[in-house]
Amino acid sequence: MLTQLVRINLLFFSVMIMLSCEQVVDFDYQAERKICLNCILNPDSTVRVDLYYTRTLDETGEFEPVTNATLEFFENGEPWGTANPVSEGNYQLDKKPLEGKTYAVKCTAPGNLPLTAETTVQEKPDVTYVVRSKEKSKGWQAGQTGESTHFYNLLVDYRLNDQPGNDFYWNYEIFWYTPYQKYNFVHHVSYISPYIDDFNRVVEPESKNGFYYYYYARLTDVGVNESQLEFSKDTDTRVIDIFFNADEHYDRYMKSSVQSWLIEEWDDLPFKEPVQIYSNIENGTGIFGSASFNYLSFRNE
Amino acid sequence: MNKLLYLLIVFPLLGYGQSTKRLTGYVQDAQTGERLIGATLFHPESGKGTTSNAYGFFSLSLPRGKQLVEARFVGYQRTTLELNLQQDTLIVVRLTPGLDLEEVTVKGRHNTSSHPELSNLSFNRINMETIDRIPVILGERDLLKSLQYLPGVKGGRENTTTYNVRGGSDDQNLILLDGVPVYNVSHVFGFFSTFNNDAIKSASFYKGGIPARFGGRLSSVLDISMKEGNMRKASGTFSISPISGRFTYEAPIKRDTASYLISFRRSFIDLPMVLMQKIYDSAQTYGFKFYDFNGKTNWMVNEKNRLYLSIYAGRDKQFHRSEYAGVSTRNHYQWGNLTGVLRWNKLFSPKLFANFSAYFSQYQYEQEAKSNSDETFTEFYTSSKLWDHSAKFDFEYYPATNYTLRFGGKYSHLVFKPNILQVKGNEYNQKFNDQYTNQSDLAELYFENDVQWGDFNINGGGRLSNYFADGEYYLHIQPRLAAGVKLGQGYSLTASYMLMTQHLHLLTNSSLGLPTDLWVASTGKVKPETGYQFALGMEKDFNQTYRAGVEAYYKQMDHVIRFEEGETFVNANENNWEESVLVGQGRAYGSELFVEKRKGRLTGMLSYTLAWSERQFDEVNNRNWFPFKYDRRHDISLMAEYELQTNSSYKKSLSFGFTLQSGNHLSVSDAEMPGIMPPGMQESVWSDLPEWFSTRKTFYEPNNFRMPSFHHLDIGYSSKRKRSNGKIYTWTFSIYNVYNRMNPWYYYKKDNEVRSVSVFPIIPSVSFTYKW
Repeated sequence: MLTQLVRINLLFFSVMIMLSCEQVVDFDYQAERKICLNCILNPDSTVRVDLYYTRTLDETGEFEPVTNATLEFFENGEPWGTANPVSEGNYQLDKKPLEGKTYAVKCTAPGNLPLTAETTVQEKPDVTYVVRSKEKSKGWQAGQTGESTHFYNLLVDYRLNDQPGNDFYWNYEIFWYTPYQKYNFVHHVSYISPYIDDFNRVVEPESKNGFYYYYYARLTDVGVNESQLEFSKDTDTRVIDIFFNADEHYDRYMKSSVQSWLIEEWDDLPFKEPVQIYSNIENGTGIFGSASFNYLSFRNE
Repeated sequence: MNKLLYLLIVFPLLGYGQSTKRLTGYVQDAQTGERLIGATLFHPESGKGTTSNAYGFFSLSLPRGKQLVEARFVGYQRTTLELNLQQDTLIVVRLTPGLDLEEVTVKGRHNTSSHPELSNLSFNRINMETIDRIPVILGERDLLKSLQYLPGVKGGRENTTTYNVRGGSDDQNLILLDGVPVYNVSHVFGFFSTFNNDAIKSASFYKGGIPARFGGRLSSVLDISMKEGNMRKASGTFSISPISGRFTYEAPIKRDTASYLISFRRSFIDLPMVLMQKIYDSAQTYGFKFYDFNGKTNWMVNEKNRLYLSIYAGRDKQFHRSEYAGVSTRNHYQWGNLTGVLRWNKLFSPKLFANFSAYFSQYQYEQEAKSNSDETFTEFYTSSKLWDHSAKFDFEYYPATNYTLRFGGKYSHLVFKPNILQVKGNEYNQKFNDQYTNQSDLAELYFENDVQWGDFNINGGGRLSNYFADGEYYLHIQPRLAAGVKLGQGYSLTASYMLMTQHLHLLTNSSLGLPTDLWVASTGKVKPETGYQFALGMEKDFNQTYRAGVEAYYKQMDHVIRFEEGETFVNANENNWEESVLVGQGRAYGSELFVEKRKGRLTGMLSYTLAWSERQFDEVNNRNWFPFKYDRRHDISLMAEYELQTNSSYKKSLSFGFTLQSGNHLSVSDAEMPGIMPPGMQESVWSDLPEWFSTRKTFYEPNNFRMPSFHHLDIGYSSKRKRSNGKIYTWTFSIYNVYNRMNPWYYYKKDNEVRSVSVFPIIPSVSFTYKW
């Protein structure tokens, strides 16, 4: 009887496996077409705005630029200027925003409801550092240009003096990429600090500390407002260490963008909550935010 | 509120004060001595009746002198007792299993339900015999999946044991095993429930008008009672299905005084895997297994005292080991429940019955990954643990036949250690989240009045809960009221209101019943969930053969939680779980309709549900309401059985199950927009930057996509043969998803294409049960 039962069920299992199915789904994407306004105000730069139409996921090619829009800016409620088109979909206002001031944008494009948004420019991060130790690198090879040099590995102690109010600090690194005379992102940020929001932590047992942060470290002052945030990390003399203080909108946009990417690329199974990219654009999408930067260079250390 | 509570307390006393003799006792199976829950005791002369409680106890006031009392229970022969009541009397009513062939004559409109104040859409007593015969996947009978045929009860994903009731979340269902909450009810990543049908005696399911004696969840209560053990003779059950084997043995320790039951189930999934690995001498070994153990013993100390001890242990384990290029890798996941309860039934007087319980329930999940070579060593370890230690008391006071007062209380101490992480290597050893262990205490009191005035029945009461955690203190008063009236000609009308509080939250992404799903306590930031529900229903009984009903409900839920976008529970994050969740609100409303045929060769139920369920969180979707992922607008379910042959030796039947539901909701990116680089970086960076720097994919409303309609038809054939020596052989053949509907189970992206995976095609199976 038992043998009979096993035989019957083995047959049934075989049938089940043969009939299991994976198939490509033809989605009927019906996302509304909206104007996407992207603009990050930076006290060190003039204002640049990108204005394009969104597209559904099954559309390909370039994004269609919005070419006939009027972009008005306001500073603390007063008219501040109008951005001019510099190329298709790109607009520019030759003014630099100031820390602590609130800016608004109104975008009018024929056939669309006016897009509006507002941001307050944060103070620059007040970061100081002390190099605790340095060690000459070994075995570093010359670049493609034949340039031969060396660099130092550094252990650096940081002090970030937090300012009143909510601050949203981000830290990333770039290094000089000699062959192309360009900077390159350091894809991994790896250090331990109690102030890091580890939403983008990736476990990698072979990396230092057993994990790293994907592209950015987001530092939060929740619970330690107006304190001195102290931490240490390993870096080297090739690196430019960048801290910026984002406003709430840009912070949420950044975080949701990184989260979305992490899910898209690394999590095939539907066990993470999907991410809606944050937008503060009324009647449209995109981001109107601000960020104030502090660049630390260790080239002369 | 105070006036309402006053009314609920004083109102029932109006029916108090009759001068009669008291007939009390227990209803039990004549063959096994098993106490019967919900059996009806009816006095035809007065039209009064009552039902036995969760321990088979009943109490009935009757006039002094000679009286006839009828006792009946589904699946048992009706018995008429001739009594000469000269004083308060304690009896044991023994019912013999079998068909009640006598024509049923309805004498008056007496109550045969434990809850006449509730409609059959708010309360169901699950027929375990029926569950044994309905078609099931892989021959594995499953109480939790059978529930999903009921209107208003929707499964999470196909063939998983999690379910959503009336638009609630799957963590809003209280599941009790012998009065003990079971925190993880799934095996094999949610495909099978932890409840072994062979060890279950009965189950009651509430989704509206939940009485005050139950608390702790917003949406439903499933109250499961294990068998007690045969008091008269040794007996056993052996069952085998493609997935597992089950063995149950029960026997008296001392006839009619003490007995025990043990039941064990183990999966077979790993056996063919291990065999293949041995045959091919594989460098890798992997497998998966689960087991359950139920044990119960009881001792009838005397006619007024009885003790019960129940234990449940269940465990799943997945493992993988490999040796490759000098590197040894070992991974394992394991998780499981352990529960135990000691109960003492005490009959203080013919009018006062009590039960005292002390229990523990714990759940533990572990994941470990190790990698070793001559030079390197890395280890990743994560665990989550929950302990619940509780003591409770429940009294039932019967001052009059038409009035029962229930009151009681409970004290619980809960410890939570969620998401403890450890990462080790040659040069580091980091441990995270150890500091986020929570301890909480919960004290609760309740009272409940059950009153019958002629055709009018009411159950009203309240529950008071005091919850302490991490210095936070929450006090909740939860009034409950349910009323039903029989209108004549088989019509009845019911209405109920309940206010519920839930102090625990389930952290889950998937609603699959994954082992990583874990209960956590309310805190200062994440407050207890609260919710209320109104329900109004009407039913019509057609000569006890057909029954039809409709019920509408509205439910509001506050402080419901969900993960923040992009979060998952077990991850590498070094933060408190509170920082990963959002707190919001929910609402659900709808209407349920059913038609049931209860007698004849063809029996079954057809139901339809029209429902809405929505959520709102301040941090999501610009504070706008959006559909809950299990918002299913339409749901048609059919469960039916046709008897081919029935006599004293054979029972052969065909069974059918069909469900057609609107699909689940998903959040699917359907729009693309240009991204933006950090200011000043646009021109200066050279790199193979990820695509998201230039293009961002998003959706404008969460749960913007509805999956295709979900439907499948299952058929089963059951052949039960009873030999003259009392041994019973049952073969059950099932075909799940007869017409091979490819219901999508999940979606994923590959090479810029969205793919759906269907896990359950047509699946035939056969199982066998032998009872002696």
